[in-house]
Amino acid sequence: MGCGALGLLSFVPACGNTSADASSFFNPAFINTFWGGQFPLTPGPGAAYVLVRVVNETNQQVEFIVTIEREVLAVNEDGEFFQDESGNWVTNKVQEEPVSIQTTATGQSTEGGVLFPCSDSPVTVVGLGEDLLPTDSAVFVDGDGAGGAAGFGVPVGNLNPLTLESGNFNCGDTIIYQAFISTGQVGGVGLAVYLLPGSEQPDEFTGPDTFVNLEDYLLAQSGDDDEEP
Amino acid sequence: MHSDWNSTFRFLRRRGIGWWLAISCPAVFICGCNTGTTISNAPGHVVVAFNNQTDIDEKLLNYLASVGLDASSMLPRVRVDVRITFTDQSFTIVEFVTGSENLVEPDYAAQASTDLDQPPLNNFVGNCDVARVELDPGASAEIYIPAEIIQYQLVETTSQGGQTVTDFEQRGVINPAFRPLQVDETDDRGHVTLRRNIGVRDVLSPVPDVICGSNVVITVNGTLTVPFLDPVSQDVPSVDQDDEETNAQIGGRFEFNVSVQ
Repeated sequence: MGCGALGLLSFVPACGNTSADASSFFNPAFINTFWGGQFPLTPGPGAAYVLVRVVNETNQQVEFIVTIEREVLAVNEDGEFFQDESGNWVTNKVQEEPVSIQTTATGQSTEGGVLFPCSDSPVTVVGLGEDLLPTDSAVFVDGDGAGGAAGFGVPVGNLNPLTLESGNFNCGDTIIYQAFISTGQVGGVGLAVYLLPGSEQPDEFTGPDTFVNLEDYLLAQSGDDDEEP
Repeated sequence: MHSDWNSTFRFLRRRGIGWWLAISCPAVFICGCNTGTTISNAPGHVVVAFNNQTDIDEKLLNYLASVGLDASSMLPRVRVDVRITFTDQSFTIVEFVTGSENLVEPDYAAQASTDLDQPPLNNFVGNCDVARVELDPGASAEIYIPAEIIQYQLVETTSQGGQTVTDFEQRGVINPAFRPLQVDETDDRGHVTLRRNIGVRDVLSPVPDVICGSNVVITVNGTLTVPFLDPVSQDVPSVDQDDEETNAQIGGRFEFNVSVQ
């Protein structure tokens, strides 16, 4: 390859083929990593999900415990959702939804994610640990301990949950939890969280609009009584 | 096209001075408490979603209502292990679990908790590129049977008058639990020899070479049913333990459809 990967950002002019775009030469997934525009990185602005991704950079098998809280819509005597005088949907309880996401030590399966619908019942809190407490295990590291010992948990510590009320995230955003090697931390694992706001992303792509397509398909399949996503 | 996407991630790392930031800044974004640390954009995503479109047989609903459970708006609980293999041959096995968490007759609610309390999961988002999506080899989809099924056996007894009488006698109980959904058995020519839960053409089909950005939606349709042994009781789930065909169909009849969007 004459242009070489190092010259990626100046790839088109350097190769003297001004009429070709990068996707003609590279896998669109590769292009998306550097330039974007091929595939959506967030559900928003078009689809009503919160995407929680996890990234394992510890070179060990890691299980992430991601928990969200959502407000569940109340139902009236007819079993239907209803609104108050201000037009807001009435909710009657907070529901916790813990999810376990397994990741491997190496390769493409070191990352994964889950979509949480947020249109009818808003997602209000996103964090690590089954009960969103600082003492909960945020991740379980399944390393080869001495004598074949089982893995261990790494506490949430001061990686506080993100809240909708505080504006930490919105419906349509992507939240990314990263586990990485860090000396001086419990288990030698550090934790970090990132946010990609859906409102700042485009709504047109050269590739499939993944999350909008999913939402449309599921709504068409199940109609009014859909089980999300 | 945005050329600065890989630098628009906002770093919310809270270590050491995290509590100080949290106290001094109502929200990290508003205060601009960013350190500028970034991570790369994702190459794109493939979503594997599990869509449970099953329902409950009316006779079973009536039985559950008779024992105090209104299951008319509930969804059968289905569990399936799906293997997602990436192009580098690494793989993730995702256990999808959907359906109502309290669909079990009340007398068994306590012991059913380990099965029914498992948090639901109906989707997984993987990074591109995905090589294959399939049912985990060696695994079966499962459905939760929410009612106990009394097992009977037809036995011959001799009455005092010396007459031979055949009657059903209770032999055991199948407790509520997850039950594997099994594929019909066939002969060498493909003719069905024993009808079970899933037709040979209705199994979960694998999806190879998934295009980046696609959605793989696995939909299960069917009706959760349990047998009612008429000669004994038409209102209580029951089965002749020697009736191979009826036993093979406990759980009901289902089909899997896989679509790529």
